[in-house]
Amino acid sequence: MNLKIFILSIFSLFIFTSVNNQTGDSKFKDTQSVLKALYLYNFASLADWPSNYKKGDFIIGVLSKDNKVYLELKKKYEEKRIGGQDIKIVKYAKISEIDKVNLLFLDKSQSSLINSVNEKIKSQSTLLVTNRTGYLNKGAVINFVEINNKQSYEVNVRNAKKRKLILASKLIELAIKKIE
Amino acid sequence: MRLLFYISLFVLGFRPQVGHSQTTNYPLKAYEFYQKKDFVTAKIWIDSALQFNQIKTDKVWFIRGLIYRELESTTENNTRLVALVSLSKAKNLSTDAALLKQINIVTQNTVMKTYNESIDLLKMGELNKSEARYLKYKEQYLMYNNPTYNFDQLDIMYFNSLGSAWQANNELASFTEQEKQLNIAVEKFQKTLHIDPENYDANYNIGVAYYNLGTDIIIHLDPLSPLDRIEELQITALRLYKNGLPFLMKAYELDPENPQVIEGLRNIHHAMQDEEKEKFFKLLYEQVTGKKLEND
Repeated sequence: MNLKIFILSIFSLFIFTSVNNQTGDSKFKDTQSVLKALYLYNFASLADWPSNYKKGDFIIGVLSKDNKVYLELKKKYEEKRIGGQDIKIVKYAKISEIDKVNLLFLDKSQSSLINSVNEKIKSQSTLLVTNRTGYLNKGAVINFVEINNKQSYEVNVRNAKKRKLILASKLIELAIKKIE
Repeated sequence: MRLLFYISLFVLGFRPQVGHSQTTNYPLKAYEFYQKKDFVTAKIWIDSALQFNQIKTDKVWFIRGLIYRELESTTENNTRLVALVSLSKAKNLSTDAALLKQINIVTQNTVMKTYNESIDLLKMGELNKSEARYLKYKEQYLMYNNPTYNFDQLDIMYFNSLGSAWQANNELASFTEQEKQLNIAVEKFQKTLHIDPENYDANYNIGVAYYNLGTDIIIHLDPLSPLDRIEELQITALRLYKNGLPFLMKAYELDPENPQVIEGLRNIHHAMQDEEKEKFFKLLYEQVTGKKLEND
């Protein structure tokens, strides 16, 4: 092969390869937060609160060291409604900020605060969702678990009843583990 | 210029006493039109030379090759093939070393036109046509240039590029279409792996292609999807991650300090909810690059 032409052609392919390979980059996408936000919205949709929690905004609170789940919820669900209530997403920097809240997500990064959180919401009908192994027995109504490389959840119906919450049968049925 | 000068020398030597009794020097007429870049008329004259059996020397076949290679080649009228066949005949007849050298150069340049077309089609996103052209180029090269040429290195570069192009092509398509295109991309990268199973780019690209499609399923989930649908789509995404992971691991084995694949492995383990391995590759990335991962 004519060496000059061959080198030019290879060079042209090389340039194309280099440019084109950029599309093959692994772009990080926080799929975990997307899934958690989607599950939290479903939990909120498949539970029933006492009548005094069906007035005003429907509050979904997040207690986390980072903003990932909070921002995902805010981006996708703040304009939506649960029943007749507008969803409002709130991020708490400290426990003292927690007020009347329909659903509270206690992220793994803040899970050491579980006792204080339980104390703060003990008289409330708050659906507490946690994300740490064993927390179903520490006051959570729902706990996120990772099983077989998938995001799943477990349910403590007893804790739900204590908080005067009714969980839809579908929510209980699809749980990986239930405490009744 | 050197080529034209050379052709002029021997074309001027044509005389009608050879062959047919007609007085017209067909090859000379053909060459005159070739010089004027009127290739269509040149073609008529050179074909007449052969048709009337005037002369069928190496030089006539060579001129025919030159003329036909300049004509627009279409599927119906494959003038490039005629050019190559003519050049081949010229080569077989010639004993003139200088002419043989020129025949070889023109043959190589003619074959290279097919290769360049395949690259242009690749750049334009005409991927099936590009591959067909590339295969045609290889066929022509083996037939008219060098029957024993080893295409392995060029194949690796070409099919890695083609696979990447198929990957890039699918961003706006539906999931079904994306998966179909992903499979085509993987098939092209597999052609590289068939030649060289240790090829980093092909292994990495297959792994990433599966990862990207899996995450797209999750990222584009309808925010109001019911619980059972979330479960269903997680299973689909997981299937894709599991397909991609061995290829990323192979790429990591081939180049364990490449930040690109370390990041890819961190990402796929995040998607697979494997916190321990995600953390391992995240720390490894920081060690190798001295910086934190983006979006961390």
